[in-house]
Amino acid sequence: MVAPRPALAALKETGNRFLAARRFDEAASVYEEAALLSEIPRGGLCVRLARAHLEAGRPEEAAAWLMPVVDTAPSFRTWASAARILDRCPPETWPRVRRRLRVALVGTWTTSAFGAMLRLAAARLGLALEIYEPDFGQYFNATLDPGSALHAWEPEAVVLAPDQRALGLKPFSDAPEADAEAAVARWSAVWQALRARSAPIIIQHGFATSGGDPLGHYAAGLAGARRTIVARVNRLLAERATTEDVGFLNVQALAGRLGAEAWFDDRGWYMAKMPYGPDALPLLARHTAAVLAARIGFSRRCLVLDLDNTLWGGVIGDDGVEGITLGGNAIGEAYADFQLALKELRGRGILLAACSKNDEAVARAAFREHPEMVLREEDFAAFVVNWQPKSDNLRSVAARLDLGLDSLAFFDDNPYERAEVRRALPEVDVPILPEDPTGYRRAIEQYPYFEPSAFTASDRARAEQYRARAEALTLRASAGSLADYQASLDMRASFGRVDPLNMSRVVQLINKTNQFNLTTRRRNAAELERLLGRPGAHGIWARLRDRFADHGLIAVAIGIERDDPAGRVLEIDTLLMSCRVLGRGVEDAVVGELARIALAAGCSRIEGVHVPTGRNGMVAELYARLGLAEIERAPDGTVRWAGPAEPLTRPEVPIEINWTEA
Amino acid sequence: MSDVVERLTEVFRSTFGDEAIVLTREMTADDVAAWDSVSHIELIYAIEDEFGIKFSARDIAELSCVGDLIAVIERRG
Repeated sequence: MVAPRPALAALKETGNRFLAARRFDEAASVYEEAALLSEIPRGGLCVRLARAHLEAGRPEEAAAWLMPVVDTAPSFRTWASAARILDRCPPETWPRVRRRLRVALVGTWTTSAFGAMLRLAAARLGLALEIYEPDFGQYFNATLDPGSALHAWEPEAVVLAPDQRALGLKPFSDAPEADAEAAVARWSAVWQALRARSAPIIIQHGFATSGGDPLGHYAAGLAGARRTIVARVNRLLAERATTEDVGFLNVQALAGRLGAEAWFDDRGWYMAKMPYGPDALPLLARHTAAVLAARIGFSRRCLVLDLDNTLWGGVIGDDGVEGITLGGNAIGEAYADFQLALKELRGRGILLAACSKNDEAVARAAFREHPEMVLREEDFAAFVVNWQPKSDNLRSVAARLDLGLDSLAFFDDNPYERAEVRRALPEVDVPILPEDPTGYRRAIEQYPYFEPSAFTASDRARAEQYRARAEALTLRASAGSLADYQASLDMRASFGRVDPLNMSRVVQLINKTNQFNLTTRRRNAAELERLLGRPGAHGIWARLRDRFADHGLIAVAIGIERDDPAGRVLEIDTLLMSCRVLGRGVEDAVVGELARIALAAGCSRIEGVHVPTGRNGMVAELYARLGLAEIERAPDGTVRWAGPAEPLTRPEVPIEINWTEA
Repeated sequence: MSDVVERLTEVFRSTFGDEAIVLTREMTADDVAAWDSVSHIELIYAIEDEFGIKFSARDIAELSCVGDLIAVIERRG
């Protein structure tokens, strides 16, 4: 008598105990046993297998188990954990890497978790990504400035991921067309700037809209309503992307698929500047990877189809043409609808091939004689029907159509056949079909790896019209250079003295700013009040607002007057700024305002100091850039700078300054 | 070791990719190399997934050590 197979839950439980006890070899072998119980294990088990294998010193096994995670449910936890393990496996250990690619990921939100997932999703497609992310808030600076670190890094591809907040739309516009066109010009100017430097592959995320409208449902009929404009921006931007050979990701459609309630996560936005919910990110990563892969020709080009119980219900050889289920009843309609979807796919250029274990004449009769059959024999570029193993027949399909195996996707309802093909031909993509045929149509419609990247002759003619329109748009907006862009931002800085009203935000910045922080002197509220209570101490803050957003209170500076043999001096005790407004001239304005304060207080000179902490290297040369001279360099790297107190005179910083008197 | 600590240890290990993590109530972000402001939200999402709870923004803002986390999990769970 054969012993019953241990249940999945019990095996997982045992594996978990081994893993917790860090007995990785034992954990891996128990998990392997559990994995055999299903065609492809759930994501959580794949990740545990990968962890156990990696810790046991087998990165190849680990990386191989991470790939199926991409095809499982888009759970943040599973994906994030898988992405982290993949980061620890060198790309040489990944399965079937076809190409390495340097990708810059530029977002208007915190993209690091997304970037790791993108790397995972791309690995599943044979792409080993190296990812570069500019600092937070540097979307336009990093792309428009030809001297930026991003350009110096020389990316082969750039993924542009803005979110709807960065559109900065008013709730209602009196000039909807002009507003939409201005937005399109602004976002597409980035493509031109990238292409001017090199010719990277560009993937542009579209905008998804959340949130209500003050006008409720009524807003849907108004051209000036925010959502209407976002829809217009998406359409125009996508058209222009097609014209300019930029890959466009329809984020609004993905948001709709998951549902806006799950797609957007306001808590994540406020806590971490992640606008999308946890389970949105895997979906976004999977599809971004698919569009990226399409750009380098990695899309599948041929769909190989089983016949019995895939294109119709029942077995043609047993049931006969009259006996199969196709049309006529609920399940039959689902099969017919699936065939319609396949026909649409063929219509846009995906080759169809039949691969079935049948007598060829019997199978052909079904297509000729069944009244509800949607597909015809001539719809198939190859018709391989015999009793050979499917993997042999897939090879012959590829040979006949002169395609690589990595251009094929294989749809079959039978898990045994799928497993046979996966094992024999790992290059062929073999998705799992839902058990219920009513889910087939959606499965094929949501299959992301047929993504096209080229367009046909008729698309091209239409694209010419789009191109002419797009050029006109560019001329009107002329947002090509960084200086023009900054001028167009209409930046307004407001300054004020530190007072009880803004104390908590000021203290927060003082204690958490690491990079743009000259001295990194941490102080709590009481210490700060004491310092600023002294005569000759000046604490100021700055807020920044532009056409698109109010960035809030983003910079703090403290100046202390003192007497010096050469005259009275204002020493800059503290100067710090949030990195999200880096590269906009705010720091110049802050030092300029400190200089004005110095002059008003009778100080002729200002002094500043840079205390290196290992994290504030970006401001080591700030005072030099602002025209101060080095006067002292300590052994620990601390440098003191001094110069005459002069108000900000650089006219190229287009920033309007206002003082708020408390 | 309590069940919560055991499950939380597993969440930490899988989130931060460090199988050697052993939790104590006093442990803070400074004690775990990969626990920074960006991965903090990943940790929160993973804990929510594991325990089937939802943290409020205030809960998250007030967390400073593992003991605080356990307290929130026990209160919300």
